[in-house]
Amino acid sequence: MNVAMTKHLMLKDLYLHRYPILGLALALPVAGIAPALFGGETMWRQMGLTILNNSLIYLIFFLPIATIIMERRNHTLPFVMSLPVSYKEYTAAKLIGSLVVFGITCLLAVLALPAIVARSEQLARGVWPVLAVIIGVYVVLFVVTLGICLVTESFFWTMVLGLLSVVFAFLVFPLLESIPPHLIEHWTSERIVWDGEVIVVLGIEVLVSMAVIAGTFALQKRKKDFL
Amino acid sequence: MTTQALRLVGLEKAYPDFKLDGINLELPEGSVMGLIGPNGAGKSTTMRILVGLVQQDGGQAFVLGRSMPSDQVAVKRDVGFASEDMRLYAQASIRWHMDFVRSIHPDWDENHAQALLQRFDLQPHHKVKGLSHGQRVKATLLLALAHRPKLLILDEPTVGLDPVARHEVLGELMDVLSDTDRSILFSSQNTQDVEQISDIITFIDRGRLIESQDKESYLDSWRRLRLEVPTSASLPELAGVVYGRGKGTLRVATTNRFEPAMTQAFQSAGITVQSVEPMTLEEIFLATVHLSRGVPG
Amino acid sequence: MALPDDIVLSQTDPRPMYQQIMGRVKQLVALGDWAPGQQMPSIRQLAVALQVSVITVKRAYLELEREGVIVTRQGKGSMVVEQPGASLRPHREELREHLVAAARLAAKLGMSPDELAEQLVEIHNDTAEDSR
Repeated sequence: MNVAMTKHLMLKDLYLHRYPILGLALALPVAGIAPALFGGETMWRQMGLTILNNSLIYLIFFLPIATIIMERRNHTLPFVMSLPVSYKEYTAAKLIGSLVVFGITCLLAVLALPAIVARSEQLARGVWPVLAVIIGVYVVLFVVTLGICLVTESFFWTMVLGLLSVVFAFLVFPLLESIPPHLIEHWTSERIVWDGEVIVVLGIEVLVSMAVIAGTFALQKRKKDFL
Repeated sequence: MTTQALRLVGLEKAYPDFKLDGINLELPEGSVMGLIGPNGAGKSTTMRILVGLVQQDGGQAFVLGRSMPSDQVAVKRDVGFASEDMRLYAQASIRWHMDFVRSIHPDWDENHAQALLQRFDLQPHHKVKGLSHGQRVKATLLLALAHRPKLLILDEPTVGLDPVARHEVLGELMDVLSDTDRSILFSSQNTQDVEQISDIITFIDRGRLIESQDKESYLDSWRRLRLEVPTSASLPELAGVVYGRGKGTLRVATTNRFEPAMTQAFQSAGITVQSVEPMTLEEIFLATVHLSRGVPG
Repeated sequence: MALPDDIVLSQTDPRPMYQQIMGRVKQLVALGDWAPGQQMPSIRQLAVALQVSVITVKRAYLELEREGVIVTRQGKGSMVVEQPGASLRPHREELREHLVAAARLAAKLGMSPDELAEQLVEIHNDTAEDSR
């Protein structure tokens, strides 16, 4: 697989969708971080955190549709695929490109979080392991949606997966609370606890993501029509 | 032996309501092949297979000596493709597209690209969405031509172009042929274009290859004969001859196997051959389709 | 200099393109625009300039060579024949023979040279009409 080609394909997508990306991946999180930092113990902080959380979730829905479905809808796919690239570069560029954008938002959250935690009475430093698990869930949902989108190129199924992912992403919080090992308890603990349960869950998330990516590549390879 | 720019052996592709049925084709290096046939005949499908947009179900495709689809990345480096249903990114400029292709094609020739911008009268800073149809077609062609590909595969390159733009495009395509090792495969419903610049004409209908022959021989083998048939005479059954409708004394015969002996055959049957006329490619096209589909001409 | 631009094809000309090209070349040679021994544009050059397929130009050149108007040398391309009139000489001689015979007959009929010339012009015009 040609790394240089993949990079150029990625940069192409980032350029073409620069405004929505700036909006969803940068502006929106920042719009959440500000009230979360300076809102005190009020609903402003709550809203800020919600916005921050949602900005990650919206990406799960938006990126596959904008970068993958639209290529087909706008008939630009033959143009791209007539260049000296194979399905490998194309698939990798879409996956990595989307994950990079997702990563940017995560980075913003990670950078802002210590400050937010320090100012919050509800959140404690123990929140990190749980957040890692939550982000891990988002990544799994993201990768699954991307994979289905790439393989099916179907607006319908991407919508379905995207919406399901969004719903499930919101369900993560209550699920963490009700299902053993009740990881949500870390939320309020002062100690940052990377215990066995957390590690196992994170491990599962990583493995599932990798399996989905590998499966996507395998199915892309078998594809016969790249229109 | 000259290298073959293209060699298709028994190419097959099945769709729910269409089947490409064992196409065998050869295009020698340095030649132009014009692909003609009714809509839905399989021209686009064949070209998509050659560029790797679609994979064949059976048979082999060798493009510039390499096997498709296994070698597609190497092949596409030397191929320039443009099709009627292909679009560029509307929000980006022509210059952006040029930079993008340049970053991916190692053989991009910026000087040549500039010359093409001039020739096609395009402004690089214009966004694609603001271009007229003709400008968009020329921009797409520019992107396919600028890296000087050894093989150009073009699906309907002159559709919707005004006479000036069409002249510019045909001129540029012919310029490509100044290099003796560069070849062109193009499909067009404009039979005049095909008749004018093709070295080889290939006719496809309903997924099957009807004919693939050098243009001069192809046009030479088709003739229209204007006949004067007295009431006493009857039209002879001759191989490869189709009679037009009409019942009077003046009849028309069309044939794709013309030879002087035919005129003798008519005269011996008491029929006067008023004239033997060549046919334009468009007339041949219609006659071929009627023949292969059994529709009376 | 024999330039591709010297040849202009017409869309309304009903003849096949290779015949049009042949016709133009023969005209250029007869008028002296393309001098005897002159190097001709290469087949590819002419094809590109006229926006016509190489195979058509190739056929035109082959037929022109067959008629003795041009000659093609391996590795050197094509050029106008050294004595372009050469291929037409037998026709000229034949014409002279016919005219001599006509003059003798006219003398037998008591026709004056002017009367003979008048009849010749009339017939020449009629024949020109037919071949159009």
